[in-house]
Parts: sequence; C-alpha cells; structure tokens
Amino acid sequence: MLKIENLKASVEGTPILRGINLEVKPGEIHAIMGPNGSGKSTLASVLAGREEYEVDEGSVTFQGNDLLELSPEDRARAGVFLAFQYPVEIPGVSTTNFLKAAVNQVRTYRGLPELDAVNFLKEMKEKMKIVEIDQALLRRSLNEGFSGGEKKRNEIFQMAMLEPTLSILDETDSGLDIDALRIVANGVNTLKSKDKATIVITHYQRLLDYIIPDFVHVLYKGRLVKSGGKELAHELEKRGYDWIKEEQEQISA
Amino acid sequence: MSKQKSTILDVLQQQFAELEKQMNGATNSDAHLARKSAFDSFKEVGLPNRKHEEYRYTPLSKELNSHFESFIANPDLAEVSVDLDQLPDLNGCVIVFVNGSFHGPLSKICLEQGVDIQVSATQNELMSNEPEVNVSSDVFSGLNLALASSGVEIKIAKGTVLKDPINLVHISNSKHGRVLAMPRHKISVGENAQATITEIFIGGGYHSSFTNSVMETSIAPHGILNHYKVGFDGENDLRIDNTTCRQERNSVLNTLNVNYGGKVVRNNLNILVEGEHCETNLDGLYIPISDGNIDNHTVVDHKVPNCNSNELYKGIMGENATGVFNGKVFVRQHAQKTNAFQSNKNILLADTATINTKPQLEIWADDVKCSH
Repeated sequence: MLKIENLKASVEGTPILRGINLEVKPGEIHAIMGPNGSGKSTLASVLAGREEYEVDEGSVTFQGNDLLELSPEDRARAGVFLAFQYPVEIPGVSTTNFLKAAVNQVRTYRGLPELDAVNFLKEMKEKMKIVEIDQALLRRSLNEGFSGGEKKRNEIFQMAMLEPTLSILDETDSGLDIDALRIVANGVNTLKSKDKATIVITHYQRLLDYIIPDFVHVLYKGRLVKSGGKELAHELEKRGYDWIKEEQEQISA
Repeated sequence: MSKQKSTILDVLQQQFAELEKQMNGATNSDAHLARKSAFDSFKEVGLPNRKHEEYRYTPLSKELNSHFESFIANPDLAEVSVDLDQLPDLNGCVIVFVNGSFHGPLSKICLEQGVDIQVSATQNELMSNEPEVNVSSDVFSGLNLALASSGVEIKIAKGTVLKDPINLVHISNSKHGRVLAMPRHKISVGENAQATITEIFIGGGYHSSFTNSVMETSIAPHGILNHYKVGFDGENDLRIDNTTCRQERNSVLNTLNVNYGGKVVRNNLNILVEGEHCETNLDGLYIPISDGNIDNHTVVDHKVPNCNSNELYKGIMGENATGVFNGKVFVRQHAQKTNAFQSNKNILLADTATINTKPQLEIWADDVKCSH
C-alpha cells in the first residue's frame, strides 16, 4: 500500500531524513519509535505533505501513485490521514462544519454522493461513541480552548469520520492520561480493518500496550536502524535508546 | 522595669535555638548552614504586615502575634487523640502527619513498583535534599526551610503509572495546647510517569494552631501530575501552604484546591512552566466561615512558547467571611503562542461578606491569547 524508498528530506538546508526504506501492507500496524530529534515528526510531516520540508531524494508510492507529486489536500482525498502531535486551533470554524466539508471532499473523490446534514449527523453520532467525545465539544470552534486530551480525542474522531486508508498518528499519546490513552487506542483498534494500515509514531512504549503493532522500527539520525516485533518496543522502554546509539556508533566507527 | 512582652519572633527564635541544639554533631553541615541562612534572612525580613502588597488582605501576622506570643511546645504526640472517624476512607498509600510530626501507626505506606517514598521524621534527614529555593521567595516558605521538622519525599520513576492516589493527611489537633507545625514535602514525577497526590488538611481544637507547609513538586517531560488539596480547618486554625511546581516539556499539571473554614488560610501556589507544550489547569473553591479568611495567591510563569494554562477559582462568602484571590500570570517575552485563561467567580451571601480579587496578567509576548 505504502512504499518508501531511500527517502531523504531536509528543513532549511539541514538534512533530517537520511534514507528511509519502509513498506506498509494493508491491514498492518507499524510503530516508529526513536529518541528526540531522530526525525519521527519529520517523516510524518513529509508523508502528509507539509511545505516546510524539502524532499531531496527517494520516492514514496501510495497505492501505485507517486505520493510526493500530490498536494496535501489530494493526499487527504486519496485517503492519507495525519493525526497531529500538536493539533492546530481554528477559531470560528466548528468541528462539525469542518468535518462535514472534509468528509464530503473525500466522498466526492471516491465517487460517492455527498452526505446531507441529516445523514452526516447520524454518522457523526455513531462515530462519537467510539472516542467517547461530547457533542458540546463538536459545536465549539475546532480545538479552540480544548484540553490536550480533548484535542487528541478529536483527532481520532476525525480519523473515524474520514475513514482513511493510511493513518499516521504522530505522538498521539503525548499529554494523555491513562484513561484518555485507553479511549484513543480503543478508537484506533475499532477502526482497524484488513484493507487499512496505520503508522504509529511514539517515543514511549505505553501506547503500544494498547495498539498492538505488527512491526516496530527504530528511527535514529534519520534512518530506520532497527526493526522487529512488539517485543522491541518493550526492550526500548526498559533499556532506553542509548544502546541503539552505541550500536550505531560502533557500526559507523 | 517591667518584663518586655515577648512576640512571635521570640517564639520562633526559641524554636530555632531548640532545633539547633537537637542537631548535635551536625552543626556546620550543609543542612545546618542552609537552615541558619534561611532563618537569618527570615529575621531580617520579618513577618509581613498589611503594608506588604502580597499580604495586604491576609491578617496572618496579626493573628500570629496575638496567639503565639508565648508558645512552648506542641503537645506530646502520645497525648493527642486522633479521632479515626475524621479520616476519610482513602484508597492507596496514606501518610499521616499529626501536628507536623509523622504518625506511623495511622499511616499506611504501600510499596508499589516505581514509587519511592521516604519519610523523614527528623530535621537532619529532611535537610539532606537540596531545596528548590529559586522557585519561591516567600517569607513563610523560608521560615519553613529553617524550622521544618518532618516531611516526605516521593519519587515516581520514569514510565510509572500510579494506580491509586498517594494521600498525605495533615491533622492539626489543638485540643491540648497550641500547635506549631511545619511539614516539608517534595514530589518528583519522572519522565512519562503519571501520579495523583491528594493532600488533606484537617484542623480543629480549642487552642490556636499554626501550620506552615511547603510542597515542592516537579514534573519531568511527558509526565502528568494530579495534585488535589482539601482543607477542613477549624475556627482557631491559622494555615499557610506554599506549593511550587516546575513543569518540563509536554507535562500536564492538574491542581485542585478546596478550602473550607479556618481562621486564616493562605495558599501560595507557584507554577513555573519551563518546557514547551505544557498544560496547566488550576481549579479552586473556597468557603470561609464567618470571621474567617481564605486567601489564594497563584502564580503561573510562562517562560517558553506553546503552553496552555487554565485557571478557575470560585468562592462563596457569607456573614463576616473574607475571601481573597490574586492570580498572577506572567507571559515572558519568548513565550509566544501562549494560551492563558483565568477566571474568578464569587458569591457574597451578605452585605458584610468581603471578597478582594485581583487578576494580574503581565504579558511581554505579542502573539498570545490571554484573558481574565
């Protein structure tokens, strides 16, 4: 479904990703872990198409199409979804209106008729249950004045509504207490299906106790230096990232 | 010549001399020197009176002067009967301090993986940890540093999620005589750890009591601390609480401060936001009794960009009760994209009830959203 080959990217001339190779197949959950500043968020942003990031080399193919050629909004229409680490606030636009526009864009792209208000609200009420989100929250401006936990739950709610083919969760666990984490993870698990894939980016292993990954990759200095099953995440939690760093230094020495 | 009337300062001086005597063998240790310098600077500054801006509406010194002019010593712990029914039903660890001293029999310290609880029953043990002096320069906090006699240090290890809250219960029982209590606690929440700390203050008794407590907390990156405080003070209780919190990046602090009763209760809550993407929630409720005074002074210092703070304090004042709220929010020049909201709502039930409320936002950054 997603194939990343030798991806290199930089911000303002500073190289951050230095050759990433990754293949994600339908139905799989991949976790990408790594120390601070290893390039985790950059990878997510490059996949979503943020403009500050310059792709220097390599290719990303999504369902047979060159993803890097598409604009961010076309990527979203094609079914790529990024849950932000720090969701932005949009004053004056209610979550409901925001989502209605987004959902109908995606539906049009897929050749489905647009949802009218009644059907949209029906759909929304159903999906609200998944992340236990309050309706009052959806009437308010998007993310404005939301607590950290509410913002993150709102991201997963958007994911539920948009039904993306590929979801990328960028440190969705940060700032969440254990109960909110469970709700968010539960939402992700409920939405899992055999034709959809998820990439979970996280610094800590805790989220992966709830969203069980099929593969765990370690990103360090812009490269995926280690891959394994979910037990790799436990090892990282126990031993920290220092042994990865040492191992890499030995290889390069 | 008539004997000069002694004052609270003499009493405190006497207390400090006693304490120095007990520190045999430890004189000139770092701990002793820290205490000594704290006491010296306290002597220099003295107790704040009404002319001090920060204590303008808080008659703490006046009350101390009139009730503690000749304090001798706390009643013997063995003589103090603690009504067990006073203690609420609590889950998890319970650490009890009676009149400022650790009370083993009433405490229940459970050992959970990733949690380290050290109770210090003597002055020497307590002072082995460096105090975080730079956080608060309050005179009472300094006095506590000089005179603190017991306390607890809790460390939550990296990645630990605490199932049950840790409860600190302070009982001030002045049935058998006046009480002076100065507990000093420290809590550090490790990286990506989550903990709930509940502090309960229970007062009451015929004589006056003065509790001057300090709680220093810090939260490492991605940590979450829920810090709940509940005060049930009696009509003869004077209490000042100095709580500080230092937040590192991506951490969350939820504080709740509920106060009911007391002669004079003062809460100093100082929060230093030092890392980006922090969330700080401060909630409070105060219901002073008639002739009682409850004062909440809060400070949120935003030093870095991209943080949120949210404050809501509510008060109900009846008869001759007085409430005070002072909420300072500093948004430093570099702290762009800060969202800082503050609200203080009060109900006065009688013409004779008073509220002195002062929101105080000082903003040096130009791309922020702040309100009060």
